[in-house]
Amino acid sequence: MSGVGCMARSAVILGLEQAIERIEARPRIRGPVASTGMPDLDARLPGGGLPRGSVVEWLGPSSSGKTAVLRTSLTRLRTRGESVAWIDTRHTLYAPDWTDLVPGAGEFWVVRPRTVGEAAWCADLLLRSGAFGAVAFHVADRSGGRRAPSEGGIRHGAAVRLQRLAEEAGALFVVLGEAPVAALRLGFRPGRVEPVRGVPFGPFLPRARPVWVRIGKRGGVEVPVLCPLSAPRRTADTRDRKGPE
Amino acid sequence: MSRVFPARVASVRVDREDIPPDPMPMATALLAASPRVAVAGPGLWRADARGWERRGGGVALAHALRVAASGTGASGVGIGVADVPVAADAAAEIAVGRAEHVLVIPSGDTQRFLAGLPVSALPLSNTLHETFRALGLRRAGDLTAHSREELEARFGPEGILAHRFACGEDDRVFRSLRSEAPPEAALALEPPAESLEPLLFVLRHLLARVCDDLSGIGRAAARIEIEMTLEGGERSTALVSPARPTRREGLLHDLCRAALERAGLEGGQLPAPVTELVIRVTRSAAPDARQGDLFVTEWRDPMAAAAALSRLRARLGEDGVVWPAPRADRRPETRNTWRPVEMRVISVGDRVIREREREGSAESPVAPGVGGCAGHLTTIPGVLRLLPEPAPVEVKIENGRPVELRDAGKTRIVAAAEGPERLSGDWWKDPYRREYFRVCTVGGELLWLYREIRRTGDLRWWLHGWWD
Repeated sequence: MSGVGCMARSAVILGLEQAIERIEARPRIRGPVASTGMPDLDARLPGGGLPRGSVVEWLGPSSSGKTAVLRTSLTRLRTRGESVAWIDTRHTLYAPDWTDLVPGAGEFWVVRPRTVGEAAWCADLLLRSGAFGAVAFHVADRSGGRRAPSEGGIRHGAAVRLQRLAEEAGALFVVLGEAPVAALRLGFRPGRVEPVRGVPFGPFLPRARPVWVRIGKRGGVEVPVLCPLSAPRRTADTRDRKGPE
Repeated sequence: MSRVFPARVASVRVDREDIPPDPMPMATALLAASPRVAVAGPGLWRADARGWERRGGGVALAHALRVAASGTGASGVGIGVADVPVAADAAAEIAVGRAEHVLVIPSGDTQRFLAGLPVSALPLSNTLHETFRALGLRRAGDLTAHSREELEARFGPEGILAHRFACGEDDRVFRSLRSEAPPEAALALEPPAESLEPLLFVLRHLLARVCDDLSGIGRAAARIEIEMTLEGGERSTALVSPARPTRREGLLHDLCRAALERAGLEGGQLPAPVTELVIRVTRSAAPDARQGDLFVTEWRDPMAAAAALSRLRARLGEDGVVWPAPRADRRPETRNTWRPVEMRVISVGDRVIREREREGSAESPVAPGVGGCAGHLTTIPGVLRLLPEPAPVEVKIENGRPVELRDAGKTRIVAAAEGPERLSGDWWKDPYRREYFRVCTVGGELLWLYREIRRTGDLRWWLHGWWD
């Protein structure tokens, strides 16, 4: 075969390999999905929502909006009367932000294990019961840095086991951290905010904060979706004048 | 056997002197025939005919009751069999004078039977009875001759009730005579158990008996007390509270086993040989049975959830499985309160389910706090993550506002900040004075900082959480 022929053949093979890689990297969702409650995000997600019976990787640094988006998704499930459990390994959930998930059909429970190993056992038990429409699993170890960019992950063996249980239960299983067998990965990234100087009594917080959600598997095509987060409200309803002097 | 009743009854006997002094033998005999037998009055018994359709209906039930009653040899008793209590009570009164002591009101003839009864046979107040008599309304049929609205306009809500009774509409339940005393099972161990294994063996058998008893009275265990009598007379107690009232033996066994392991074991051995084990249901409740829907794929068994949560709580402790119950307090860490599993939630959930079913409301198109539709940007509220313990940070201040913060060797430039929000209180026990700032860093982090002045005048900055 001539040199030109070899080069053409190599180019074709390379092109095919790249195409196969793209196809394999693209998340394929065939089963039922759960809506996130955010039409923009649903429109971009494969299948139109978060896949039930699969592991969903939910990654992002602190303040990236990943908890807010997940909370919105779980609230959506709760309005459908499904029970939801959150495994809070870090013990950092703030109760007042979660009260509106309590009333209604089904239930919302927070499980607070002491270690990551215990958390995996909790996830196993919750998924095995088949009674929960969604289980959120925050992997990060409590001792492992409160704002570490990487939230840690679960071992491959445990992930395979939990994936199988989620599939049997038809439950949405979201891992806030790295999960090796995830069918879908959502990466969250906060938008950059430029500092403003010289503004009297300011600068104030922006009314909405941009958060980018990237959808896809590792090495795959990522679809950016903008999810603005509103500015937090004041803690107390009334101002106390007795502050530090 | 009395199956056909008189179309018109002139009067109902009330005072009788031949009532058996001890109702227990009769109660025992009747309950053996049917569990839904209740006392309708002195010497009077009512039986629920509903549910007997496939076994021969009220006639078969009446036969069973007659055989049971005749076995006791008692006289002066009356047993009424009907679909509703008001008809069964009246039938029991009439049955007293009959040889069989049983009168059956067939399912479709309840209203016709009631129409011939005097109004005084209906369970109404004496005042209303006197009023009806004064107005010439002698029989229940006289009431049904008027519309329900007319009776309501004249006699108020009790008028509606009278009309409902006269029509054979009675929502009262046939209260069972069965004892609802909390089930209990005990076994003396000979020789005394020195390890957990024989205790678990006995535990399974005791729980089987308790669950049988619970099933018999139609109840479920909400709290179980396990009492171990140790050699020397000392007693050790462990409590078990399933997430939902249950009588599932397997689940209760797992929970009791976990409780025993927590309470009694020291290095795999019991602190002392156990001479007696008692399982006692200290709180029972109606079993929670929700009907699933074949066409609602999202429906999941709540008892399975209860079983999983109970096992989690058995291992993680009371605070291991919680739901948010924020306290009305200004201090954030006090406001951040989580409550352990409670049965109260179940009733709330059930009520909401019923309300939703009644309203026929569909789910809201989007979750609360999320607005807009596809193609439009939606804003969702951030969620605060509160550190269990505030972390000290170094903060650089310009014009009274934080502009830079250093934490764990990492420096962050502040892009915007809002504050101070002053919080203080608890001067009588644990005073605090804080100034909170919501700080947005250049990297997009939204942090919650506060500075606190202590009594020594020392000013320190703390990171309390972040919005995620």
